[in-house]
Amino acid sequence: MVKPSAAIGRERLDLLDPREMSRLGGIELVTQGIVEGFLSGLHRSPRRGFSVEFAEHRAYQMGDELRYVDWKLLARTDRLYVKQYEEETNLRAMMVLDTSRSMDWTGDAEARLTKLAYARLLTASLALILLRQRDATGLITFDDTIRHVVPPRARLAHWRQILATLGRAEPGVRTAAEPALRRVVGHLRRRGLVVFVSDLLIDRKLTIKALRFLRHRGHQVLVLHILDPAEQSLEGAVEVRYRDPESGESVVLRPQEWATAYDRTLKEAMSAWRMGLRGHGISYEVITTDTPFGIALRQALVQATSVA
Amino acid sequence: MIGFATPWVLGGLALAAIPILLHLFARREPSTVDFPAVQYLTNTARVHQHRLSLRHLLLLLVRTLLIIALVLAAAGPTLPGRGSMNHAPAAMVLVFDNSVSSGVTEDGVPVLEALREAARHVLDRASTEDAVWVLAADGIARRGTPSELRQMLDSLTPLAARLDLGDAVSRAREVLSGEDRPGEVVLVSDLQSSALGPASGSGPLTVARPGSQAVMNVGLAAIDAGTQPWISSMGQVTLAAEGDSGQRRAVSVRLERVTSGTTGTQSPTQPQGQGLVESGGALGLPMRASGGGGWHRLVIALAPDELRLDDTREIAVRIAPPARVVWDTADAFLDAAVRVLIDGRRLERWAGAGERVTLGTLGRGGGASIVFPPADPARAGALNRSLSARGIPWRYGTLTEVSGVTDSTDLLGSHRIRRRHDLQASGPERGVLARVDGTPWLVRSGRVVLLGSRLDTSWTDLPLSAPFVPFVDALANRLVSGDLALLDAAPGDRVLLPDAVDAVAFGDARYRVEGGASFTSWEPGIHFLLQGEDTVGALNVNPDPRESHLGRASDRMVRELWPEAVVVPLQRAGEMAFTAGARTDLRGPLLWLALALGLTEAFLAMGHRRRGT
Repeated sequence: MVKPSAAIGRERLDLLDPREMSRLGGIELVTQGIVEGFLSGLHRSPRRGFSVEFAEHRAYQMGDELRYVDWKLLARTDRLYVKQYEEETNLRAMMVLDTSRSMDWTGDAEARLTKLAYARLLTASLALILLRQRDATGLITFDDTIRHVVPPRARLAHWRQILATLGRAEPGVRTAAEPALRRVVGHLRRRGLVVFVSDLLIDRKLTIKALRFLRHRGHQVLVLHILDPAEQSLEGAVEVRYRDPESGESVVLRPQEWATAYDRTLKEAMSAWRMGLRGHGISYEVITTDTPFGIALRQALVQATSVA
Repeated sequence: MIGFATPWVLGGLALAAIPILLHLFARREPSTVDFPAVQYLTNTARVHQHRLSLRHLLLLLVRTLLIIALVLAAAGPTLPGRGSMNHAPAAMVLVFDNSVSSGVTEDGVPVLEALREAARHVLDRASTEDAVWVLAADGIARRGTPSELRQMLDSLTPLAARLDLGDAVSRAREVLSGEDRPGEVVLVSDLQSSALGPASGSGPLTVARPGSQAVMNVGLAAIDAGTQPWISSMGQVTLAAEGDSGQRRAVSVRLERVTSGTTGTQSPTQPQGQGLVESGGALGLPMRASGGGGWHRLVIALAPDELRLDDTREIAVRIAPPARVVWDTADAFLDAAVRVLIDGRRLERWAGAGERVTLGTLGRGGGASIVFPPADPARAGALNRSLSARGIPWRYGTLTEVSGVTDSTDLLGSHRIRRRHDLQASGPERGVLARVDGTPWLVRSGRVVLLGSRLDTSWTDLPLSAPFVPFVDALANRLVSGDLALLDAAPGDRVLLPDAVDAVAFGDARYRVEGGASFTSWEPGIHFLLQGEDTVGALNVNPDPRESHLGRASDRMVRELWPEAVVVPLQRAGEMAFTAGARTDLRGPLLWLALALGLTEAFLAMGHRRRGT
């Protein structure tokens, strides 16, 4: 149910049902609503920041800002020290979005967004949050080739360019993530953050290899695995021919009979992704398309904070 | 060999194809849906396809077997096997021997009661699913529920009829041959050796017999009242006895005059004859009637013994004065026969007064006549006109010179006829007494008897045969006066009645009959044959003399005659019933199997739904 606009202001829009949320307006309005809601709830979180991390102390020198003086240390040692942070400047982040045909699917068009629509909003929200922190944020969309590239910029107005690119992102045919991930290197010369948003119906070995490459280059990598709830379990008693919209490959089976085996296979696949990624310090998070964006953002940003 | 109570149900085995057809049909046109994660399904299928295929096959097999088990159970399968308390639905004919011999009393207990008790035990084993018949001495197999047959059994009394056990077993097997269910015959009998005979057919047979020795018995076997009618109230009775005992038994003879039609009798206060008779022997007794002419009932009774049914016999005797005859002495054979009969006081020469019987020609003045065809065929027309003038509906037709044979009757026997006139009726052929090659040869109408041939060797060989004189006697003393037949039979025998008979009277009962048709009576006694209101003969129904031999057949004799027979004492009849051909009912195990298969199917199907593969 779409909330009346009067109610929108009073409620956490980021916690609304994604499908309902998407009906509130265009991507810009919706994304701002999500981010506002998300940030308004953030002050209650024990975490206050994520891109600027404490590294070491150094002796106070004339000209240092008093706000960086470590008063507790002064009390214990009777000397003045200031906190030294690892990255004094803002982060450079690159969003990599999978726009292949498999992403343009939902198990229930009435109740849920397609994976691509959900990923667009999620990516836009993440980008807005990063840009508001003055982090340079860019975007690459790809299917079997790289479709669009938006270089990272820290200006808030850059967000509209990202939004425009996301709006132009049409579902492709097949998926090949490796070229897109290698392209990231060219846009993140310093160590940065790479957020890879995909349903991961791609070649796992090649993809992990590319992600590992990014990791070796010193980038923090976050993989957001987008799943439709209908992909998580098979239902129905009648025999069905399941066809892959990308490859056209099909298989005939009775969902009821195969549900458990499929569930096991899916968990094994997700486990393989998780093990393959985390083994190299790459964060991995599964997000289903019925998850409110606020929760999804929190999942994503917690992971991003941890890797950063 | 496996058998089925309702084999037509096996056609339902075609239903076993349903799961396979459904399986194939269901796989035809699945709907197509887009599903991005097909690679996971493909991986799943690759890993689990084998197990799932096995499970599918198992389900298919279980469902097919379930249908087969249910169809087989519905068809009522049975396997040969003994000793089962719950027998499969079966067919059984209980042959219950309530023949004459079952009326004997042994050690104060009627044998029939012992047989009945054993038969009850047999019926106690029957269930409503069984097809059961009881075949008693009347030879009719009656089907009913066990309780109905028990009631029928309780109402049975010793029948005066003989039961040929071989015939009874054959008939029982015929009854069973129409049954799909496994069948058996249980014979409950006193097992007289004289009742045994070969049996046709095959199949399980249980013979239940008394264990005790049979009592010694003597019964009346036959009565011969000599030539009838008895002339001048005089006659000779010869009686014979049969049985196992060598003892001489007292016998008395009584002659009762039938006064009121065929029902009333006039009994003498004292027996007219008495004597002693032994088994295998005969006794001749001269008799003199005291009550004048007409039909009489001759009753012979032995002193009572353990079997009463064969102690009394009755036959009909007609007493009449000798016929007074006139005849053509030029007819040499007739003349000779008449003179012999006159010498024997069977005939008298007509002396010009009183009733006369004209032999050879149609008598003038309306008296009784035995008419021969004229020697000259040209005179047949004049004779026919005379017959017509007398109102006789018969006429002499063309002369046939083709040799033929008289049909065999108790009156005449078979004789060659060389020449004959066809006897033609002007209306329905009534009163035919004998035929030659199917055409009337000897007929009676009122007091006139017509022969198709002259009693001459150029016409027939009858004058040269021994029965010629008795035939002339019968023509003059019996046939012309309406005494057409004296027949003997045992209860249950089929008797062919003369054409002229239209009713049979027995006691107060009167049965309409079709002349020339067969007649069967189960009641011993005299059955008078009627033509309208006239008594034209009698049927003497008396027990078969073989029933007087009560000696029992040995088990060995039984087995030699009926190799399949299992001989048991009466007390074990019930125990053996439905076991001789017993077959184990497989419906129960099959239904249990179906239940197990059903549960397996449900388990497998639910497992599919719950666990996937």
